[in-house]
Amino acid sequence: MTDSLANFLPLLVAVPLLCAAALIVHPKAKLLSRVLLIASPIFSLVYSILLLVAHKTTPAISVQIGGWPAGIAIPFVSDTFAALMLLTTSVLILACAAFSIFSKDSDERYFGPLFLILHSGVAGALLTADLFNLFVFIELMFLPSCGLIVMRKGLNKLAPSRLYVTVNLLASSIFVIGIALVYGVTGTVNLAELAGTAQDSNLVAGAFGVVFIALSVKAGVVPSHGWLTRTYPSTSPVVSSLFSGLHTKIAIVAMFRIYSIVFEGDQKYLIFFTILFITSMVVGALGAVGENNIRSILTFSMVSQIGYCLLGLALFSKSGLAAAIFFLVHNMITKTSLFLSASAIEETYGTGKLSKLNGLAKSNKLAATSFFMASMSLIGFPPFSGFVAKFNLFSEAIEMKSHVIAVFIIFVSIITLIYMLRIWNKAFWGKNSQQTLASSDQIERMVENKKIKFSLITPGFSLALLTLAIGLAPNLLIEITQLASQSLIDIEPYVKVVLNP
Amino acid sequence: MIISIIIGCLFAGAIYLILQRGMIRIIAGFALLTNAINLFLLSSDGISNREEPFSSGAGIEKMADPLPQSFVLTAIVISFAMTVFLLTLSAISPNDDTNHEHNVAEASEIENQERK
Repeated sequence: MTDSLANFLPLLVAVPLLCAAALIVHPKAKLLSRVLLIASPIFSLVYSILLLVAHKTTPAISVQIGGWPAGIAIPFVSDTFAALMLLTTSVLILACAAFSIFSKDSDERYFGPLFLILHSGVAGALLTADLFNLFVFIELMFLPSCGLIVMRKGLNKLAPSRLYVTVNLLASSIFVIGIALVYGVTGTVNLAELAGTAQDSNLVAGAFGVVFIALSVKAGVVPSHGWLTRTYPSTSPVVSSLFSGLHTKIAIVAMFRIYSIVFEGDQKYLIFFTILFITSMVVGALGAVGENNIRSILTFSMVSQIGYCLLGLALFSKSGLAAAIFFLVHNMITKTSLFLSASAIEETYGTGKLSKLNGLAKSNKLAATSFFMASMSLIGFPPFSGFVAKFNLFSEAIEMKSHVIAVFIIFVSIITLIYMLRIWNKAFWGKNSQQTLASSDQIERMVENKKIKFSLITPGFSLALLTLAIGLAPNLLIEITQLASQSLIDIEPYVKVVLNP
Repeated sequence: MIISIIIGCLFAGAIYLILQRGMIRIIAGFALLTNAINLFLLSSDGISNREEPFSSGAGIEKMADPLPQSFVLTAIVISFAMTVFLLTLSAISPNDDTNHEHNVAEASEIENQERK
């Protein structure tokens, strides 16, 4: 069972790619596109659950692609961390695929293929144990995103997409420079062969420093967060939901992976991380307070949450990492749920501006419930998953005597409360939207169709229910995250399966 | 020595051009940048060994390392695709970035209303 799971790991990349190919050949088959958009994430969902079950007994499994001998071949490795991330991303992709079908985005030509290629890039980036291959898969995520970001008709949003493409291209270029330096210094790009080298040699550490710079631009860590907050709000709603769950998070996962394997959690760099990530948390949260559009607020809040997710690196220890991985999973689900609810609002009312929305809680009870649950989870109220996630991080910070981190976790949560309350007050409470909006001629047309369709809200609502479920019964996920952090701390099984399969 | 000077010049030109306003200059900057990076990748294993890696029968001390070459091949393909995409973006949008400060939220707003 475990052997065949290992041998078929490349299918996780191949199946979405083949589905995309089928859709390119049949560009007008709408039904086929809908079926494949749902089937492909379900496949990786099932596969990753099987992997998680298998990892209870075997910590890591690998396959050498093409049957080349170990050390020459590109290895795909799955451990608990990779499998958990695969599971989470599959859930998010499934929710976004469902939304795109309900909102008819999936009917646009080439939406399906681009979406599925992005999906396969995510799976590859999570599984590969080769630095250059990681670059290729990150590019495989980035290229279809360029297509998705310009998908909507009209030319006025092309300026933000230029920003997106150039900044990401620059980050990719820096990544390649880092890889060239790593190869020049060590003569290999296989992560398992590089295990622990950065701890011994400052040259290798410097080379990986360049890789880290590239990844932190991709992750949107302050001070390189500007592109993120300016481009995400201008894409079509479903695309920004998809990106929010995947792009920056894959960069975070890669940083976790590289730091744990190549640096073996070297303590001397942790102070830089602490400063950088706390700045991200604060700057993102304060930026969110100043925005006036639901999706802009959520994007700034993303920058702040990225700081939270990465705190695990600053608290590098088994339980610290477990808390960070828990937070990462919680954040991916919650943030995508919020984005999907905001997308449903924008699809229906044609705007996400706080000044033009009003009284949604009265007219759309389900949408309001969904948004409310996810916001509470984001802020960290019990009984949602956000409470458990923040509580774990906080108690870890206290335990590691990082009182500064602990203070900032609470402080930024309060700012989170402020900006989420702003959305809630302006968009959901107040008079019914119909009366306020009717005053403006321009918007009157949109108000005719004023109820958010039930189908549009279901993907976001299901994710909101999922965060509630995790908050009510966190033990299963805590257990899995402990195994996952174990696989990051104890890298011996990982190295062993890559080098001696 | 010569190759490091060339890489240095290419990087300098690329950075200068990317920092300019105007899409075409930025694209030219990226073209220089990718060339600089390709040379950099190629030289990452030294450039003194120049025999064909396979089938020439050259010994391991003379043959060039094939791995950076395959890296470069991949990087060239990706950068070519991106250059074309960037050129398309610069050609089809109405305003150049040089004369128009864009408010992202506004743009999305206007466009949303057009869509309805």
